[in-house]
Amino acid sequence: METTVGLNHYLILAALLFCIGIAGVLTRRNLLIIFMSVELMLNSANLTLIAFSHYLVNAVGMVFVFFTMTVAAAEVGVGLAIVVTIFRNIESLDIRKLNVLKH
Amino acid sequence: MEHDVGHSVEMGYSIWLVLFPLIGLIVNGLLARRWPEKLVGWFGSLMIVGSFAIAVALFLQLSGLDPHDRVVHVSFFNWLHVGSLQLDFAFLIDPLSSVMMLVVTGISAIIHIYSIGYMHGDPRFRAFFSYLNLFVFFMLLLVLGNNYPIMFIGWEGVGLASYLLIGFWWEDMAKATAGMKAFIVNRIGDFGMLIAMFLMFKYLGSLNFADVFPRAAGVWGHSPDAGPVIAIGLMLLLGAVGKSAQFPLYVWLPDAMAGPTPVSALIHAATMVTAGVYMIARSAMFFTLAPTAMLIVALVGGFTALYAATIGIKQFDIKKVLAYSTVSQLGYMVMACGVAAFGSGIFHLMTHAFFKALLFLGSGAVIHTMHGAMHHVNDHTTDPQDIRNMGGLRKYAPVTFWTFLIATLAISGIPGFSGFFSKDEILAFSFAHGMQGGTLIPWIFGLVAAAITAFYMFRLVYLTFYGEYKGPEGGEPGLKESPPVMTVPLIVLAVLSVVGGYVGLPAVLGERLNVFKQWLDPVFHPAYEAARIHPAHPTISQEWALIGLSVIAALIGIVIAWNLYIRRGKVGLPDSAQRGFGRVLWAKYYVDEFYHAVFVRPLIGLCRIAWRFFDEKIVDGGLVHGSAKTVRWGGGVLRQLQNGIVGSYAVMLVIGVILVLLIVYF
Amino acid sequence: MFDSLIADMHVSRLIPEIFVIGLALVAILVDVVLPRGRSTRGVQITVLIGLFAVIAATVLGKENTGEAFGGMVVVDGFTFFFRLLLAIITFLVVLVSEHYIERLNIRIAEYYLLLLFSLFGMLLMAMAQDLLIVFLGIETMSVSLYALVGLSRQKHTSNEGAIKYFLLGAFTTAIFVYGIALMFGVVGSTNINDIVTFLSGLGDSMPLLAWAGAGLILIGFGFKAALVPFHWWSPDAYEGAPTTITAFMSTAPKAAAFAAFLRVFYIAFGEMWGEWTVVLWWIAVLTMTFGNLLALRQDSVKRMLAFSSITHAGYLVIALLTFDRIGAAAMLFYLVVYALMNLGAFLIAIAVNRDESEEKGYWFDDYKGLVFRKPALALAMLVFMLALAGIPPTAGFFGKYYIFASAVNAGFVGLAVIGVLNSAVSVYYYLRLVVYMFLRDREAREREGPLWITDEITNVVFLCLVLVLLVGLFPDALLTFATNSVKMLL
Repeated sequence: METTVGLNHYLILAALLFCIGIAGVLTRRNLLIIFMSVELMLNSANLTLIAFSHYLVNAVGMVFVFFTMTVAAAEVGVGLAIVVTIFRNIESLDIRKLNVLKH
Repeated sequence: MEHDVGHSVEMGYSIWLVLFPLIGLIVNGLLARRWPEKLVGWFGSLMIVGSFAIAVALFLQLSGLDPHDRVVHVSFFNWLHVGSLQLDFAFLIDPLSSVMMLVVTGISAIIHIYSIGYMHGDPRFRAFFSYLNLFVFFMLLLVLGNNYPIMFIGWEGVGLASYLLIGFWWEDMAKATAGMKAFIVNRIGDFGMLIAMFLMFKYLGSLNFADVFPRAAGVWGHSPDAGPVIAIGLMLLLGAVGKSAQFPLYVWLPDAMAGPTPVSALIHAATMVTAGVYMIARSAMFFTLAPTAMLIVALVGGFTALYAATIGIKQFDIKKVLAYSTVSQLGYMVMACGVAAFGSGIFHLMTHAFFKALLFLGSGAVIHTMHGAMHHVNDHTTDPQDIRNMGGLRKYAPVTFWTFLIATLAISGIPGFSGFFSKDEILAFSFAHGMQGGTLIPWIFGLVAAAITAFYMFRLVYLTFYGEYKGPEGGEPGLKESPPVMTVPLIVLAVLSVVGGYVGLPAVLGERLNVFKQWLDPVFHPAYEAARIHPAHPTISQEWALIGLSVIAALIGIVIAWNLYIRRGKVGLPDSAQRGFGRVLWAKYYVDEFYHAVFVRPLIGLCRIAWRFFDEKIVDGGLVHGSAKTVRWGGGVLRQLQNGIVGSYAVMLVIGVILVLLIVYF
Repeated sequence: MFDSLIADMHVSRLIPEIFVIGLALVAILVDVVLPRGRSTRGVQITVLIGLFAVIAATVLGKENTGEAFGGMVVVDGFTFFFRLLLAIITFLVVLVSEHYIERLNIRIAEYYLLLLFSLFGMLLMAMAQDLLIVFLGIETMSVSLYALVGLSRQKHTSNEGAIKYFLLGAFTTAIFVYGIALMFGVVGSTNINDIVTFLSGLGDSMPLLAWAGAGLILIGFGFKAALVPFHWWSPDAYEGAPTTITAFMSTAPKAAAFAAFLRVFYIAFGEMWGEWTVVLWWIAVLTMTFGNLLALRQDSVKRMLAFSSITHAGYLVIALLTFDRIGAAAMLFYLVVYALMNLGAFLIAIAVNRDESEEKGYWFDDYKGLVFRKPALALAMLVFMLALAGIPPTAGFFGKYYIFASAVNAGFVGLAVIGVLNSAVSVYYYLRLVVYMFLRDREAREREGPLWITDEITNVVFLCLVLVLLVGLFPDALLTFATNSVKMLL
């Protein structure tokens, strides 16, 4: 049986990427790696949008992706600034060390 | 609707009833910073006297009308007009509210004046008077409002004023806690009121008295005991149980005695605590339409009357004795409503306001006198409120003694004094109600409680005023009668405690003589009509027998007290010597301890669980910090949910996501 | 050609939003032009004047309603309500900020700019008719807020609150976008009117992807509105943020999140509503209860208010899940009332806090004897606490009353009962603060430092106080306004 790459393959790939991203956020301690995992999740969402866009022949999904990419860039800007400030203060990127606020 | 029955009657000036206290509040609270103490006190009192004058004028005007026209709605402005909710800011002036406003303004005026003497020299004198005025303002809203929301605002407002006044001297934590306890227990009752209002709005589409009662009669008149109306009745009862300190929510009232004595007299005896009785009487329709709810009202009231009376036997703090006696008397009023004798409940409310205010003010005077003795010998440790330290005060404070004795005779139900007439009426109606197919249990409770009441009140009088002085040694020369600004109100109230009962003479002396009943009857008539019930009347011979029985009960109580404390000269045992059932009574049946164990501790425990278990445990472990800690998960070393660690927050978030998706999926 | 394009886009309907962005640009210029020391003051005044113009433009353009930008956004009564609410909250926060940021040593013009940008994002959320705009609005608001929370750069708490908010926020954004992607895959559009048309055509055979997509979108809103179990960031971010920002965050963004939540779910997913009530029922119960239980045992007033704001979001969910006009109106009413009382309470907390350089601060102990030190302030705090606890005659009572009444009316009696019980529990921790204000012992006297009261704080607190009492006595006007504002939704 001949196999072609279809919509479902993209969707499953995206879902897998999304789960890998979640796993990364949940298990990692380094701020930057968590950050990267979040970006992975965002990009899997982008992939889903583009796949749907392609198979539905509907440009809205692609336009949406432009916006998410822009927003993600802005987010990265602010996020990295916060990370830098934290590194200056505690000289570490371990999230477990950020534990003053609790209960 | 009968909204415009009173269109020809000009009662717009009734707004001044609430404006006077409001002015007093604003002036004393905000402007009178530099006024001398006397001026502040007299100004605050004058405002209440003004309200009283308005109340008298309204009463006279109302009594000039034909009995069927005595329902006047005075609307001041459109308050809430949204969708089907049409509420005006309006007063309902009818026989019931006129009695209430006379009692509230009259007693308030007397107690304001008394407070000028009692609070003399207190650094927060001005605040005290503004709170008192605040209280009167809300209390009048409560009794005058022509719809449930206004009543509820007054209801909560008096709770607030009470909270502020109980904790008036809150430099120490115990008093602050007492204030808070009162407030929180009351919230349980308010919860009932709110739910009842929601249900009324759902089933009847309005919250105006003028609308809900006829509609309720229309909806449920042919099917009494329908589910919703029972629910409304029970929820209203819950409200009354909270505010009027009925079993099992009475626990706040004895603690509320931490406040200054005039506050105990005004708020925690004469007026605020009777709001529940007023509310039930006002909502009579819902109770007559739901006989089941009414039966529960009667049982709660009767049981409270007996239960609180038994506790009163073994208390030694003069104000605590009076507090439990208030709970017990409120039980009588609620019981009266439960046997469809709403008018008798209000009658007892009025006479009780006179003699209980008198008892509290008298106890204030006693405490004042005791302070004199303690000052004289520079004693700061003796408890001036403990009756074991008193005795023989009759000689030193004669006015206080005689007025206190009159009030005691009244509360004990001795013929000729006001309490006799009202209590007897309640007992007669509850007996007749029982004979008519109901249960006699409330009547039996009431009768036994009457005997116990006479006993503990005379115990109080004997221990306080008779026998030997047992206070600080050498303090006798310091014992003095209180100043006139305090004794004159006592005398006024004593007169009222005697004559107040003659407006409601028992039927045996002639049916026409019960003016009070005739005045109130039109208010409750629709409720009886809708449920097609006729309040049971005892026959003449039954009534004579009942009068005889209750007088005998009272005399038995008095004789036992005389036998114990005068003839055999017993004095109160110290706390540690309390044994057996006496100790159970002394410890108030351990109810506070019970509540603490059953409600308070579990709540704290629940917090701790929320904290420990959700907060401290569940997450952390392996999921967050890698495999090393996964092992410790099994060992049960877990941390909080809100543990401050981003990773575990993310875990919880993902669990939430999964839960949402699962709920949606299934 | 170009003119007609502009006309089709109905740009004039977006004048208030354009003003906000224009104002931000002007403020940047002012910051550059003015000398260093005086620039923030200048920026503040510019922003205040500008916000006044925004409010005026909103009011003047009230009649200019309809869709704009090809149906991406819609200007209606609902939008009008939130434009006013959000702009006024921002105005008040800006008003009290200048001295406060000076006290915190974060006197930079960006503070005001970020507030304006987040206001812009919130305005988009209130008018969005397309999931793309909802997304853009949420992100514009959030990115600015991340930065604002972390503005006290030297403070560990501020850093920590910011990074927690940021990481979890970005994480939820990914979930949210993924939800939109799934929904797009099913419907082929992100416009909420297209979504409802498509879904109602399906009848009972709703594809699983649509459910999953809507569920993930719900989580996105739940996060921004701080609903349990998506609230984890909020107590920490609220505590870490400069307190003016906490006051802002607990009022305006919450209102905006509920606005978008309401519009998207009532219109786009109204077809599936029966199922959502189950989810929202549990969320409401958990949110109220969890917030309450944790608020009970806080030592810091700021953190207590943070948890209490979670509880209040729970009440708002009750109003939301009634899915009728009465509930929606109750929600709008409550948002206004909540903003007033919360703003007032936070401002007093600022005034009483002794030492801003302390990492945490805002202790209950600082309130000891406040009644004797500053009676007027204590009285105001008493009123705000009573309002938060829902006791008449304050506005808080009517807010809760309408919410619970709408729940009973819609048949959710059990939920109303749980809600009323929760509000009874909440009395405990609000009154605990009142008790502290009356207590005064020697230890407390030694602790007493000067109060930090500025004219602006006095004025805004007074305004909130008057409004809380006024709405409590005459709730009619506000309720009518709220009812009219939700007319077009259902």
